[in-house]
Amino acid sequence: MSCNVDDSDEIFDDDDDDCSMEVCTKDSHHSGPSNMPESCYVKLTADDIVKEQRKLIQNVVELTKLPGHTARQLLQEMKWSFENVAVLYYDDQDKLFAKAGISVNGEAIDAVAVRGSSGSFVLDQQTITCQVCLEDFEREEAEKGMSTASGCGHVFCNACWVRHITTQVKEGQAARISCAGETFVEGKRRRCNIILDECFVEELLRGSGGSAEILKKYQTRLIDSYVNNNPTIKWCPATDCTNAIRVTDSFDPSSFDTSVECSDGHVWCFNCLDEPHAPAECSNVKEWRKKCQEDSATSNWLVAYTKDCPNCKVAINKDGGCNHM
Amino acid sequence: MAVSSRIQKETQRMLQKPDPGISATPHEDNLRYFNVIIAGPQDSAYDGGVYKLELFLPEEYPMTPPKVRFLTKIYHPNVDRLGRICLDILKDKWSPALQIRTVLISIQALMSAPNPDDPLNNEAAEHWKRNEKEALDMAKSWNRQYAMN
Repeated sequence: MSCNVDDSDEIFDDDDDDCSMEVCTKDSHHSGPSNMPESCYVKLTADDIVKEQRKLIQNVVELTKLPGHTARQLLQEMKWSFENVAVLYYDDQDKLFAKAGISVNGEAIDAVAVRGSSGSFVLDQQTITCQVCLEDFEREEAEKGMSTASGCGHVFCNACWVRHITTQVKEGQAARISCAGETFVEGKRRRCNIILDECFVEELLRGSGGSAEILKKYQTRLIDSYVNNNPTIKWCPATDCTNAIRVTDSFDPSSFDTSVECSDGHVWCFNCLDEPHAPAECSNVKEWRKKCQEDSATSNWLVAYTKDCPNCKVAINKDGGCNHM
Repeated sequence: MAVSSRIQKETQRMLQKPDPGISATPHEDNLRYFNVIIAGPQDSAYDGGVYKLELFLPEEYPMTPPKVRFLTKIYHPNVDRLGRICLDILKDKWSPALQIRTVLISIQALMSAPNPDDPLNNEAAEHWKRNEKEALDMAKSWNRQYAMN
């Protein structure tokens, strides 16, 4: 095997391969139909994923000296590749920030003068109206009961923030929940492009009447957004399995057998998430499944009227609507 | 259904200080349902027409956008034959700081500036791109037929 694994300080304890990555050695029963060298991928548990994510964020923090939540947004936008963040950071910082929704794109409407960091603010006026519930707040109660997301200066009362965030989380958002404010872009009114940072959201959900259930969902989704946004990591497709696989640089998606085995022993093809199928190709399996799962008329219809989602490969039939659907 | 104080305030302000060419009146028995009238903007193919729309505020409003639909037939690349409107702030660009009146102003602006590059009514959009003058004539004739009487 010729995979470029850094095996400097570990003595391998497997009997049949030269894998020395810490994650896969704890599972040494290398059996079953998986034929891909284990050094081409790493087995991850849910905890490993959180740790990996934190480490990447830490790396970007060290590079850019930006706060952690900002680093997360940059990574999220660059598909969790530290290299991509670093390259664009040196090349074109403004572009990187704009892409990640960190700088203000457009002219903020109803923004009040803001001093201080994310969350807290100092008000110049005597009273302020929350532009969501349209209630007026005196300066003193505003400084306690209202907050601003960093950057844009939009201030809303905490109850409205929580309602906004809760609605967004229920609709499936987490990593890209935007500010509740509005901006002018090219003469038109639009949602404000600033993405709410993690600490801000969590603090609001904890402290201002948010529910623990929504907070939990939010946090789970952040992990999901890491896995789903990262082309080198996939969740194990087995029911209720919380493990994942990350492929290394030596993984070749066009190789003969692309099956992997998770920490719980589930074996699956990394490309198509189906059962291992070498020597057949992923496309053969997909066609085969379509053929035998349904009667042929249905499968003909699927071929004629549906397209696979470029992301998750589910067959989609668009039956109307504009491109914002 | 109880109506939040935000909806009450918005309704009140719209009745007291209506925007030019726009009116929105809530139903007596359902304060979340509005009868809307937008006057066809001057210098557009809809000049002189009176357009009826319906607007409904869902339970989660203002966290989710209002639902708006043309009731009067209109020939426009961003409105389909059921009156549904393709406007980004009614979908993914909605912000809870936007209001009923800002939505209606945006619809009025959309009537002045059709956007065939982001179509909902494909036939009309192609018509606009193929021959804008002819498409505008068609819009004018629909305007006379359906929006003036």
